[in-house]
Amino acid sequence: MSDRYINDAQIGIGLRKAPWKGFKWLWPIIILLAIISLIPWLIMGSYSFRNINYIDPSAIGEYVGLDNYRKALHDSEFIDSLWLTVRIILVCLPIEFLVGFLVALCLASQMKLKKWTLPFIIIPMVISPIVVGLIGNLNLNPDFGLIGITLKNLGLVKGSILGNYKIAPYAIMALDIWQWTPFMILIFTAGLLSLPKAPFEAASVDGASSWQTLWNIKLPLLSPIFIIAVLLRFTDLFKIFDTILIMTGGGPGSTTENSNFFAYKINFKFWSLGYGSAVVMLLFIVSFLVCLIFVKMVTSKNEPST
Amino acid sequence: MVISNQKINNKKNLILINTLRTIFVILVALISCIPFLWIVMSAFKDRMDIMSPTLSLFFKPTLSNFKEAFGPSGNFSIYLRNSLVIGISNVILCLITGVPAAYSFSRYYILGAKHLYFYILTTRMCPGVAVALPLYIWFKNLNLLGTIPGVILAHTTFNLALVIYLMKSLFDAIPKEIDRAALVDGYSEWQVFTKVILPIARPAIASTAFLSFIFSWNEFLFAMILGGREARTLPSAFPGLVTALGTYWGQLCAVSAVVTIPVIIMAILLQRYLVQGLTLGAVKG
Repeated sequence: MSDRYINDAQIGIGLRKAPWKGFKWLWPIIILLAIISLIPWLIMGSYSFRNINYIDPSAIGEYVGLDNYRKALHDSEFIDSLWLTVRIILVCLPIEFLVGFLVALCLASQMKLKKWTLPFIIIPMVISPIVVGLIGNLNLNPDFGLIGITLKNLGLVKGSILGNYKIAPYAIMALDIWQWTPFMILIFTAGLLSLPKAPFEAASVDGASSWQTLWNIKLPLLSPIFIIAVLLRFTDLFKIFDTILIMTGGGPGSTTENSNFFAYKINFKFWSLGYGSAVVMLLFIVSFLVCLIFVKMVTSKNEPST
Repeated sequence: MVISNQKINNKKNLILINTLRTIFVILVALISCIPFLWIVMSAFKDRMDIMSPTLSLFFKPTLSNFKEAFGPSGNFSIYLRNSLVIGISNVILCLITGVPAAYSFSRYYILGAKHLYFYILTTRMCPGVAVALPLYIWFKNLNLLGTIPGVILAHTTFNLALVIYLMKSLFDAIPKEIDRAALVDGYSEWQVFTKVILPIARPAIASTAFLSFIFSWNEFLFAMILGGREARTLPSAFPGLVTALGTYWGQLCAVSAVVTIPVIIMAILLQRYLVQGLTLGAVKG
């Protein structure tokens, strides 16, 4: 007993009396995080209270208080971009979730099928998002794209798809569904295959139907994985950028600008870094709060993993 | 008689369900890979064949797109080198700093560990511009804009989190009794880590390295904003081929093929770690 105590003290495992013991391993990442994250954030925070514009010589960086934030909240283009972000999440998340779960159910019950099809299914999610954007751009081209020509021959769409302000946002959503449903398939399949066997044996002895097994055993057991999947897709849907840039560049007009793209445009096209910093701060606060809520949900579901 | 009939019916049902499942899954797989294969095929077409409005599967294959992009007249061999240098250095930096940190997260009681952990998580989750803009302002002061070290540092913002989460879940799976036994044998804490734990973790470290390399290799926004003209990577060179005079479809497709095919091979080999990596270690593959 006393032996073990000494060993624990040496290695410091769970030792509340020596909370500094582990820090000697951490100083490299603390320095690194200070360089790549903390210091830049503080500088940007100070920018958001100042009037800074790289291409406007009259903006000399004077202190303007909360003006930039006020401007953002009254900027209809910013509000529109947030609304598009919300629409993208509302359309893509349920479709990706449901299709992903259906395919995962099929794959988890047939291992041979999984072995041969999963490598093809994961292609869209592992290739560079910029290539995904190019795939969308080329395939949707009405003159020589695979999908573009097909849709034109079926008479569903006349003329350009990405140049049509009514259809273009849906093209962005469809591309995201194509790209990321495989992610849901992959992690739901992994989740289904890692479920414990005992409850299913008990259920089959009791003569439960497959529908009952799915509803009463599989779904509750999978709920931690569902939460993680939704959290990760939510944050990634919030920050779509590459595919929009290469497919539509935010156009036609600003109809395919989501909030991330809007922030990019203000900062790196209009070079209005003071106002842009305020926009970025607001976006960060939103994603931080969402993150916090989800992490609370995850940690309350399975305490030991965090 | 009745029972056996029912059995045959059940069997028939099962075969029917399995066939339907198989067809459904194969359909999904086809939808997933055909648009991509179209791009790879276009990389071997000349300009006329790419722009042809008839969707023909038969054409005369040519390597001219690859020659134009990667040959002496194109810049893509430089971008390819930049991508490799940035990817490899980034992986090394993340492993050197992240692996000891992950070990300490797994073994020690650390004051405020949960907050630090959450902080690392948010750096992975907030919108890309929200990471790129502060770095842009800071690097402008440090004269790191448009340099390869700048892009390497920028890529650590997402890969450091990946390394720490993956490695922590691995170290958690190694019993602490091993550390204790080695300490009793007279090893110092650092020796326990380098001589006992690291050799056990070697395969997982290799997979983590490949996975972080893929993420750095694929990354576009940071490389475009912070890399500028001098530290351009393959993905961040894409918009340069979409010009006002027209789009260089052939070259774009050729570069796409070069960017994606190694990644697809790596990803298929690393499938198990892919699940863990993409969910930050929360789901075991």
